[in-house]
Amino acid sequence: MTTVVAAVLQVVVLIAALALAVPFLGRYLAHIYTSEKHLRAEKVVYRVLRVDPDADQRWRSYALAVLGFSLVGVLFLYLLARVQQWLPLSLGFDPFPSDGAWNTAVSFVTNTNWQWYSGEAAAGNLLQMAGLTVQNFVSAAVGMSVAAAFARGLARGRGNGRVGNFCADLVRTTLRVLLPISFVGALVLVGFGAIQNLRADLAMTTLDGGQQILTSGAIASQEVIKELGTNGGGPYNVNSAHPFENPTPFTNILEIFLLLVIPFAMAWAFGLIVKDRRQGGAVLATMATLWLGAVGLLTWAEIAGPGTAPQLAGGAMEGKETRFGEAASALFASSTTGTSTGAVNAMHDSLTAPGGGIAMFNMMLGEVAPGGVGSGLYGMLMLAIVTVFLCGLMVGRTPEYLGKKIGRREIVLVALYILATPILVLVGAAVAVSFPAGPAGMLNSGAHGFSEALYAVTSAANNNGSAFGGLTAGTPFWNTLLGVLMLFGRFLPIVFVLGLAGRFATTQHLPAGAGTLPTHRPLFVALLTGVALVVVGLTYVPALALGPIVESLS
Amino acid sequence: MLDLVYILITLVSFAGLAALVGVIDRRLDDPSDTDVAPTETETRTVSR
Amino acid sequence: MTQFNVLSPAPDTDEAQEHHHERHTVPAASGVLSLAQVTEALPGAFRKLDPRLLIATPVMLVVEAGAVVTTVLSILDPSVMGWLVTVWLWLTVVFGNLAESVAEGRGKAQAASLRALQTETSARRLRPDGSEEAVASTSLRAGDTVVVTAGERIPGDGDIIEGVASVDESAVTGESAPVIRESGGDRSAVTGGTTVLSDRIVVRITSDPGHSFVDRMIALVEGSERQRTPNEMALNVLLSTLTVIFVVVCGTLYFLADHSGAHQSWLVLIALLVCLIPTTIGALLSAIGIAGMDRLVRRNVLAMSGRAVEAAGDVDVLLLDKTGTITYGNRQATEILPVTGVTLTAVENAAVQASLADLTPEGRSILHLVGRSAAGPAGATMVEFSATTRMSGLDAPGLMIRKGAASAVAAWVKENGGTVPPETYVIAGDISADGGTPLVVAEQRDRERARVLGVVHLKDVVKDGIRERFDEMRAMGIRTVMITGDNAVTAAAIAKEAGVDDFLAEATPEDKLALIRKEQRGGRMVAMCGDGTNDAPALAQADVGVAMNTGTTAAKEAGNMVDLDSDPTKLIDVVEIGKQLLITRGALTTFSVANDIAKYFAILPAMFVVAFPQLEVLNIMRLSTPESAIVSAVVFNALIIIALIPLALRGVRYRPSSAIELLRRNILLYGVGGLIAPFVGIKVLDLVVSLIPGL
Repeated sequence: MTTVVAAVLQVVVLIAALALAVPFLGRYLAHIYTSEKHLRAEKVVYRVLRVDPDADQRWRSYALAVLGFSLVGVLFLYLLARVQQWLPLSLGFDPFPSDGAWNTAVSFVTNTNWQWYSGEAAAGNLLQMAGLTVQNFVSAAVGMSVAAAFARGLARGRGNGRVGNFCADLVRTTLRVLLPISFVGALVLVGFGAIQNLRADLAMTTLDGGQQILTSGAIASQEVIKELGTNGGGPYNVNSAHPFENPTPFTNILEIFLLLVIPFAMAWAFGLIVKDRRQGGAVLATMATLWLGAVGLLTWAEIAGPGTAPQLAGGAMEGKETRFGEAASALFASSTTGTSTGAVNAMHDSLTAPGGGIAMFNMMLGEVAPGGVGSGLYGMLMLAIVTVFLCGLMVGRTPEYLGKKIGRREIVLVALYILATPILVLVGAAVAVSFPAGPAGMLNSGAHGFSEALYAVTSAANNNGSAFGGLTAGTPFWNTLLGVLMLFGRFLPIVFVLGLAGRFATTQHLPAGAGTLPTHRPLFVALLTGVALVVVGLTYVPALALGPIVESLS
Repeated sequence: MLDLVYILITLVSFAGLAALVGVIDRRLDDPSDTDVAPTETETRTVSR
Repeated sequence: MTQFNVLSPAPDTDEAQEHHHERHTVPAASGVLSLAQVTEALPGAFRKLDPRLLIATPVMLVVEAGAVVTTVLSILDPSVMGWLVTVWLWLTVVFGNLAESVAEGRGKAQAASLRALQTETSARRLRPDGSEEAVASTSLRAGDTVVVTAGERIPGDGDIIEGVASVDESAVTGESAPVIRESGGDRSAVTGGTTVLSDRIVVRITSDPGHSFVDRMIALVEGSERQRTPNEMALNVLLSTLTVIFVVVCGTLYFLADHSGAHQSWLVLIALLVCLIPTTIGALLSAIGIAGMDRLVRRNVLAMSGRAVEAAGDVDVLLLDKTGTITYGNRQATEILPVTGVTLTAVENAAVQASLADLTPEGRSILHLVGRSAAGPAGATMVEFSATTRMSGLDAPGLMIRKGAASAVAAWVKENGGTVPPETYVIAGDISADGGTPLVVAEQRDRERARVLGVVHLKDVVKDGIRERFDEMRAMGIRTVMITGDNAVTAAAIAKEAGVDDFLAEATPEDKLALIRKEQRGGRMVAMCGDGTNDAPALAQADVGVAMNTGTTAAKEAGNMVDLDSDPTKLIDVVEIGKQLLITRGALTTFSVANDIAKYFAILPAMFVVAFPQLEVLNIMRLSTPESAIVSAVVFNALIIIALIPLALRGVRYRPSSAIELLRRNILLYGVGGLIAPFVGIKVLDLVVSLIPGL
């Protein structure tokens, strides 16, 4: 029983911390995305980059700026990974193979942070710091900027058609939000035992007399932004299960807090940007409902430990750290899959069958519970528009969301958004199992092997980046397939979201009346939750049936 | 050699995405496309 | 001011309303499918199997493509299940087409009766020199002038430029009482095909052959001009999206299942696909739209476009003329107040005598109020009301009585040597402030001084039940604005009594237009009705403009709907029908999607249970065999279309209430209902289907 009490307690503590931080951070974010003032440091950046941060962009320019910036990011990372052996601080590592370099470049630029390699055995310090960590910051900032542009598009009235300035959003997010929080967070982590140095490897003798080499590096700094920016790509292969990354149960909770705080705060900021706090509240409530549901189910699955092996072993501890235990691992797993982070503190491959299924379902939701930084907000808003469209008709009016009519053009963009990821996942899965190179990477055969492949494509296309383990994904086939999924899974939705933002910014704002469907009431939250679950459920149930569902019922 | 392939994939993908932006932009701006609000497109005669 | 027919009280139910405004040519309205309707629609349903026609509903096109594939598969590898699935897939498409055909069939009957009006007649065209020539009615062009006398049919749409006549318009409006049409003013328009009952009129034709009002009506009720409305198109996008998702789901499932060692035949995957895509709403979508237009026609409203009907559901502001809509349109005496020193009987007698020959509704209402008649004095002559004197009354030897506006009567009293007690003005002022019209009664006996007797209170009587309707409107979030030519004081009093939200007093047509523009700038949708030529700009500007059939051609052309009954309260019905249209679409979409959950529970275990026996747990309906489960789901999917055709045609019941209440009710009914219904339906079908030998 104490396990359950402890499990509940840590969730309560986490919620309390979030409840304190989210409104505050949300207000700060809303201010950043609507303020016209620039910091001195920012002005320097704009001068160096020769951009005008006050130029209000149409959605097209904004989208092209996002794409251009990301393209440069991919090419730069690719280059860095290919020539790292000639660069300082490479720790003597070889260059990445071309398919691996491309996969990694795309992975970090798309905020997926899928890692086919072991960080400590492949990536030198320069690549980690100047390449991957930089992208950890800016790829997160890109997502938040897009969400901010969408919120502004909804908030603005007819005629203007402008959604903000990408460069200003990007710079502000990085300098005013991500850097300061990361700095403080890194200090705290170091205080609790995470490492931060540029020392050479440490060779040591273990208790039984064997030799072990410990790779060190700037770990704490990368760890914080890895969680805060819902990135997930850690310097060590075992990610947040590694004691240098995540030393204690306290840092474990802190890291979970960090990966949840911005996605929830973005929903709060959204309410403030559209000048109706209740709307942000409704979005936040829906995210929280889905997240809590996943936490509850996953924790139950891990503690109850259904399945032959866990029952015999007396607990589902395979692949989990003893310093965290089942509940803290389940909390981390549901939060990391719900937020597109993909950091792990336990091996998801070893989660119980239903637990692994829930982690997968969390990602299939399209990362909205509460989702990636920025992407969680716009993903949830897209679902909200679908809900408004379905339910709005049932109140006898042309559907509208926040005073913007949802007509044919709007619904086309939403439809394309909704279509993009499932098609990538399902077609990706079909491709993966239909070529010999795909199943070749699976560790297990049968339903579990299928789960490994399904998990990988789901994780990539939804930009989560967590791995089920078991799958040897460092082959040209998997690297290329997952790279394509990550790339389109990130930028297709962004293009549709920005298009819709531009559309909303040109349409008239309609006043709400008694006949308008209220989108802040509990009923709407329930419907939105239901629509998210049904739409995703209907799409993925057949695939899930062949993997986790079959496994769970074994 | 393989490097070239991957760089090409990248460039083509992003070019495709940029083209998509252009297509959507044109479709959103196209006034001949029918719209939601009847006041905008429906013309009725007023004769006195 | 406009005169309107006496209005029917607000009907309670759809049925009552439909019966009330029943057009004489239309079979009894009903939501139930009759066998005759179905047989009549069947040929049309098969004609619509043409893929070129089906492309408009992508969902059904996918079903048809699936049916073609399963047909081929069943021919190559015949099996009982294969043929069962194939037959039911084809039936699914046919059922969908049937819904549309039935909806169209209702319009066709009306079109046929309208066509009868277009039989060629000969017309008497006037030459420029004034002489007549006989020409065929079909050769008349706009601008021609024709003579029509009693007993003749008016050869084409036009305006009367000379004369006055009573016209039987029942062929078009269904209203048997003849109406008066006269040159000039707002009553001058006549419709081709109607019959002149008396007198002789000269009509200037305003439409070319093929473009007359009746032609437009035929096109509308037949649905040949039907264009898909914005909302219908948006919904179609969403349905197509779901279809694409499920095509991908089922297409990729082939490979995923293969990999998992649970090979699936394309036949089964197509069955799954058809069950998952939203066939219910896809099949019924266009029928819902056609039926919505049809419901309007049944209430004698012709909408020029489906877009206008849909817009009606979105209306935020309703502009209503006071007269005829909110009040009965004629003022009635409600009270007679004597001045000090005069008995009530004396005033009443004088008022009655002055009104004996007064045939206006106001005059009648005085007699009605007093409740007794009095013989007029011998040798009396009536003094008619005129705009200059603003009084009426009677002159008899030794007695003159006048009633009229306070200032006019006061002047008459003073002229005849009398004085007006200040009290008169007080009473008159009170009545005015209350929204009524004071009518001062005065007399002069035997050449004595004239004196004021009292004041009659004429009141604009607000219609029974109108207040409740405005309350409903408010609950729906619609603001009502009363438009009146009255002064602000009177208008405010009536507005308060009727319960409208706002009023526009001393309104000119320009004011109306300005008000509509102002509301639209604020993002609101405005509906109004009107009949006069000077209403035309406002009708054109409004999002929903309902023109009265009695109105001018200009008004009818400017509006996007014409009410054949010329009943301004019809606007409220129009709004309800517009809302009902959207609700029906939303409800059936929700139902359709909710159905999928049960279908997964039927089909998924059936597909995979051979490879993974543990999935039998998911067969919560305990369907007998995998084959029977799949066939049952497909059959259910087809039959539910037939079962819902009546609902699609009738529309989901709509009660005015707030958005959140409507939503809660419809979610419960169609969302939760849609979740449960297929579990029951598929189970029942399975009990039957499992008896089929060889399955």
